[in-house]
Amino acid sequence: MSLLDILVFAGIFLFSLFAGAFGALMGLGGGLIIVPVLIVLFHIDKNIAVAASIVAVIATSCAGASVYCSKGQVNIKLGILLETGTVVGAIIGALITVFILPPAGLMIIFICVLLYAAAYMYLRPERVIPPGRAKGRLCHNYRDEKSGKRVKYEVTNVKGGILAGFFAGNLSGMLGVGGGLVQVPVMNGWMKVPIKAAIASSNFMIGVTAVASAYIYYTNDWFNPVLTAIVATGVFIGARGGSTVSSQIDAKKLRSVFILVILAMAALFVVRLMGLY
Amino acid sequence: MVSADSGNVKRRKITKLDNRTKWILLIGVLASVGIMLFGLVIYTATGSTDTKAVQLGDILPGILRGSPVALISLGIIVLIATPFLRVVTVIFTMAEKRDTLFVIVGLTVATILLMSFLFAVFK
Repeated sequence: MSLLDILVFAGIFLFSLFAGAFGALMGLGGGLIIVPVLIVLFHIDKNIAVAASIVAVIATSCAGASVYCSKGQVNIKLGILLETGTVVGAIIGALITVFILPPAGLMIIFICVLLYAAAYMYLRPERVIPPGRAKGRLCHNYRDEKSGKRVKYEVTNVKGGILAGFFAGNLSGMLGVGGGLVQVPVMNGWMKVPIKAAIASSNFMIGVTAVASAYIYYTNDWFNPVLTAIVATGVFIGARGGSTVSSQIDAKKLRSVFILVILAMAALFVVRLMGLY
Repeated sequence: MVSADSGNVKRRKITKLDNRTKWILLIGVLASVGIMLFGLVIYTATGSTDTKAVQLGDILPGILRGSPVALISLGIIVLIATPFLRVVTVIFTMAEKRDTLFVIVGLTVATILLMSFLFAVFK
């Protein structure tokens, strides 16, 4: 490797660290940062970038969910139920991106997703869930770290949730981003899952969702081993750090920074689409 | 004293399901990242220039030949396998708890994942 190669890989590693921490703190997965940075800043082929990102999503999910599970915040039953929708969507999404989607198409869809993410984080339509009776099969409870109280909740609108999961999986398979961006607001807004549990459960689910596309990319030779290893390692360390400090950090204070980061990612794609860089 | 946790709503400790899931995910991701890092070190040390991951059947022969790319590919495969093993873990834990509904749900997810692997192989 030349000195330039080493500098490039060091840069990718630093971006991956940041993307991992960001993904774990927001429950969105680091792919929103990885894919645009790799394609636009590092001139990496769309397919190679998407494949590296899907591995990053799996690493984020494993690292983050293992922490969230030990805190009891993941609603595993709900997660596995919604996965029936996300994995089907992810297979179809992967087939679309492998056989149909050109790079420009990917960038346009990605820009829409990023703008939606920025708007979502700005508005933050978080639903505060009143404590319920929690009797159904999907009910769950966890200890809130700030108040120390146990939060019980019931889950509603399961069919709608599975359908939304299909859509989330589809985006994940097409863009290599995980799908938390759809899952978190759906679980919180429609299914009345408290936001902490929604983020933890989404983090838990995106790994399985990503796996449904990953092997399809793999047999299509989309994996660059060195790039993948660097991105996966960086994201793993970042995600582990992010989910460990998530209870001490007030994510709201970081929100404006994250919104700017997301808008910058959209700007990167716009610049590339206009042929400016 | 620690009985099958049917009344887990009241329990303070984390459940068997949480605990097993946590460990399978953690062991899987640590093994995978460890293998990839080891592969990266060898890649750099040997000055390899390969840029393609090795397909499943060629991984073991590749590693035996000392190919760093084959080693990193093994790390990628271990990472892809980890969430799948997590689904299998959930199925077994639900079966122990005689929760038929969620055994079926878990089997459905596992079957769809296996289908995605078949799609990948016979593209």
